[in-house]
Amino acid sequence: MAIGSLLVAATTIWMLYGAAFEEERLRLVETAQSQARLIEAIARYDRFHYTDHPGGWRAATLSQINEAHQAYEGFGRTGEFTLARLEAESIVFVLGHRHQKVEHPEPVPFDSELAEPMRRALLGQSGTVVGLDYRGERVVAAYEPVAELDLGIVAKIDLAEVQAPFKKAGLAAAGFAVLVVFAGAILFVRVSSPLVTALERRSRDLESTLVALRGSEELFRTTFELAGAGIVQVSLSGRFTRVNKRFCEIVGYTEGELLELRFQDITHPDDLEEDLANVSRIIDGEINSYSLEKRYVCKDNSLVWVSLTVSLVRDGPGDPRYFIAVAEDTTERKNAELAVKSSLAEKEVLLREIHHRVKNNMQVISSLLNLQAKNIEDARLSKMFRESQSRVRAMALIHEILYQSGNLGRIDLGEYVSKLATGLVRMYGTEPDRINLNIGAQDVTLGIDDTVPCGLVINELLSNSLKYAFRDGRMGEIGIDAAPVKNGKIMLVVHDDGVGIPAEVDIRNTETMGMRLVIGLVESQLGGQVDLDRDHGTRFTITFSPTEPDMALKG
Amino acid sequence: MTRPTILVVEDEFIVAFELKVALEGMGFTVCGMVSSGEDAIDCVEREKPDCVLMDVSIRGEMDGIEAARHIRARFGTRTAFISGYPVEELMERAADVRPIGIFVKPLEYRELEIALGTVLLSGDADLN
Repeated sequence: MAIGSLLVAATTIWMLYGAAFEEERLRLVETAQSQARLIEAIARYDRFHYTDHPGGWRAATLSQINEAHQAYEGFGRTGEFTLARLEAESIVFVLGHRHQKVEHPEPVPFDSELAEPMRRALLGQSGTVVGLDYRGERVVAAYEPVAELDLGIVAKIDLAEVQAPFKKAGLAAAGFAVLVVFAGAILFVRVSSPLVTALERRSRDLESTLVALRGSEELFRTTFELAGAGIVQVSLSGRFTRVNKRFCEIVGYTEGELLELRFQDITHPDDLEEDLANVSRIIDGEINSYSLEKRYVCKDNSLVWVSLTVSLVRDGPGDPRYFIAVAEDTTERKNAELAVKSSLAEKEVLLREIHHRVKNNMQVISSLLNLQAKNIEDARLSKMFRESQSRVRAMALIHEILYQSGNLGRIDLGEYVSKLATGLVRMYGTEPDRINLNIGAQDVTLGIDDTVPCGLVINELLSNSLKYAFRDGRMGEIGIDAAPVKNGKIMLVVHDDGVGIPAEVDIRNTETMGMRLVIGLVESQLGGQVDLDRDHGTRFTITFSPTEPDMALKG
Repeated sequence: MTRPTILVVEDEFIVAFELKVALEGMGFTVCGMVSSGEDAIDCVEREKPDCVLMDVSIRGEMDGIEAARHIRARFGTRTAFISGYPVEELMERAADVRPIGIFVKPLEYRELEIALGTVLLSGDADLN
């Protein structure tokens, strides 16, 4: 750059110099010619008017010129005219000269190298030349003969003076260039030195990072290879780009074979849709990773269950680059799970079947009792058979509801009571219009161990109400309510607004089978208590703690 | 006027027997008691009962509704169903068989007597 600018500067200076030199030359030519013509004019005048001058008109002219010349220093610092004539093979200068403090400079031999411009002028030539003057100094000169006086005139200036500013400029330019180069160098060092330091530090950092990376890569590779789980790197299109040994073992392909495949190729068709949906969601940035259970079709066409966790690796700006998936072979666990499920399903079917069987058997017992009762004339005995039949039905209904419902373990008390009541109302032949039945037992469920005694209790109390409360033909209402109360207990209320139990009847001390069953089942089997309120009709309140609490209600 | 005849299809003999006793008490004649759909079809072909009282869940390949469908298609004989299952579900499945009625166990014999009597004793077994 410095050299370039120097070249430009040099060229510029050279061109300027060329122009300046040409201008100087023209000025000299102009000066020489105008002086020559002026002198010639004076000489012509003097030839006619100074005929009486002691030295002749020539001398008169010369003296005038000399006089004028003495008042004229010259031009520039070194510029001057010279006037000379040829005399005995020498150039004789006729004017006082600037550079030699003499009246006239010493004559110069015509054939010497000195005073070249004057020589040409005296030879009658006109022009410009760069040559030595009378002092032996190199000058730029314009020469012109002065015809009237047989003289030569030279206007000249030292070449050094013409060149001086350009030499100076050249030097200045060179100096400036050197300065620029020097400053540039300093600046470069100033600027580059911290850069170099920073670069060195950065490169040291990079090197240590590289070492760390190599270590980390090594760790990654080792982890990747030796991991107990299958690990794969998968391109965005699904192609395996890196697989570890464990993954190869899981799917039974070699690494080389897998690298030619996409995960879509070995995923079970039924599991592919979910997998692909998750891939879209992860690429859209909706999720960062996902896990799913899916099947791979192994090389030998067997199926293997894996628990797969997939995450997406993005580059700096966040563009997706590839997936990392970790696959754990869960075939054994899955098979065990499926076995448990199928075993459970099988047991459910069996249990349902058993409930069905039990219910059928109870129905058979009920039928037998019914058939047997047909032959009984005694009303009291017949009533006992009917009551027994109704108790068997109350139990059969539990099994019927169990095998028909989705829940084999628990009974919806509301559903049970409503079916039981409907059956009893029909059995006792009660006109539906006369007695209004209200059942409120929503959201109470019981285990089978509580339902059987509970059902029998309700069966007895409801039968009593149906048989006795509205005996006189009155209209009325029977209500059965069940609800959870505090301490996880359940309160069951069976009430009617009928004639009521006579005050003299002590329910704890009665011979009737029904009441003895109620007290016994509640207090002994359910561990609860029975309260009787005889204020308005009859109101039995039974409170007990279920042996199998409803977890759903508690939760 | 002869007593209307009824075929009882019920795979639990004692329950069937109880039904037979009850039906006879109502004035009907039970012409047979079978426990599968296939036997029911044979028996209807042979005995030409006035109607069939059919449990929905019975022995054999077909259930009560399918058996009733065959019987109605081949002989025009109508069926009354008895079932332990909820009625609504059965109504839907058995709609095309145009049953005389669907009676839920435990049976209320008076309802059964009224329904069967209305259809059979009025002699319009095929009209309803």
